[in-house]
Amino acid sequence: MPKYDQNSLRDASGTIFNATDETHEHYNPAGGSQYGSWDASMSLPLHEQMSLFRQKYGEEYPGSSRSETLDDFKPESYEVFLTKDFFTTFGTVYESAMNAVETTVKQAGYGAAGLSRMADNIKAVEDANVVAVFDVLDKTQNRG
Amino acid sequence: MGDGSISLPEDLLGLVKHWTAEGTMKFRWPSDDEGNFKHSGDRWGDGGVEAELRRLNPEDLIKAVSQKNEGPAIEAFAHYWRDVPVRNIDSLVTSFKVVSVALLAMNAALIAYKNAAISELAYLKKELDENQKWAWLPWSDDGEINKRAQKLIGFFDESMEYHRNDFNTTMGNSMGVLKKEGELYDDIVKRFTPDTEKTGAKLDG
Repeated sequence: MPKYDQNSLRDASGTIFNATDETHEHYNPAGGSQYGSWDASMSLPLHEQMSLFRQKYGEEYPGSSRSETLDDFKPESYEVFLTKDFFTTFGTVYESAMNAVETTVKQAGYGAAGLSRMADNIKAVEDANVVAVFDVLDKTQNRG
Repeated sequence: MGDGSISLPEDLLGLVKHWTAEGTMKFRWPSDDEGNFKHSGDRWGDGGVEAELRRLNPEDLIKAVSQKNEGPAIEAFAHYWRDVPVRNIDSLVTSFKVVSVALLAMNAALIAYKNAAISELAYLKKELDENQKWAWLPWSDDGEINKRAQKLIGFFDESMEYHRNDFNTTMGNSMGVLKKEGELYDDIVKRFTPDTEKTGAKLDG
């Protein structure tokens, strides 16, 4: 008889699921993060924000055309936006970072789903299908 | 929003506006808000972000799973958990701290550049005021005074070029750091394909 403790499986899966829900909500770029700074737009003058993140933030300015809105926020002639190149890079990396967090959240969710399945059924701790799924996930998503 | 921004004192702003409009001065005042870099850098590196990611891996509960259960699926889970989510969480926590440092370096570089500009502009204003001092005299040579002003502004622009190069070096380094961290994020993401999503979904069934 294998060792089986339903509570430990249930506790772990429940805690991970709660964490995945919270993290997904906080880090989803469209979700209005509690971490204001996770929003890449926060450090940008609006005209740059609109240039770099037009696709993402365009909906915030319904009815406005790109040129009209951008023209409203151009730097003065005696000013320069020194960090434009930095923000082009930052915008890209920010998107990648959010995707990496989202991927990791999903990966944690798979672990929790497996534990939940085992908590629901004592036979699952020896289930070849569960083993196969974890093996495939380990093989395909392990960064080596 | 940012925690504040160094702005150009009114008299120096007037100087910059005048000589840039006139076309003599190449320098432009940065519209960038260094406070935003500080705010953002603090957030990327603070404990809240780390705690949030760490919550995805409740270590004590995972340990209890391994101690209180046995079976090939438990083992397969433990391997997967260690190799994939935990590893990614650790990498992301470390990486976000690195991004934080890059953002804070930008904050420091902007402060240094703006302060240097204010200091150099104050000196330039003093020199220009001195140059202009005798312009009201009937025998003063306006052409000569203007020539001297252009020369002083030329020196100022040259000096600011050095400061700008220092700033650009920091910005280049910070961008390099960001790109490198971006490779890690892309590496994590590229393994998440529709196939793996389908495979993972089987665990919900």
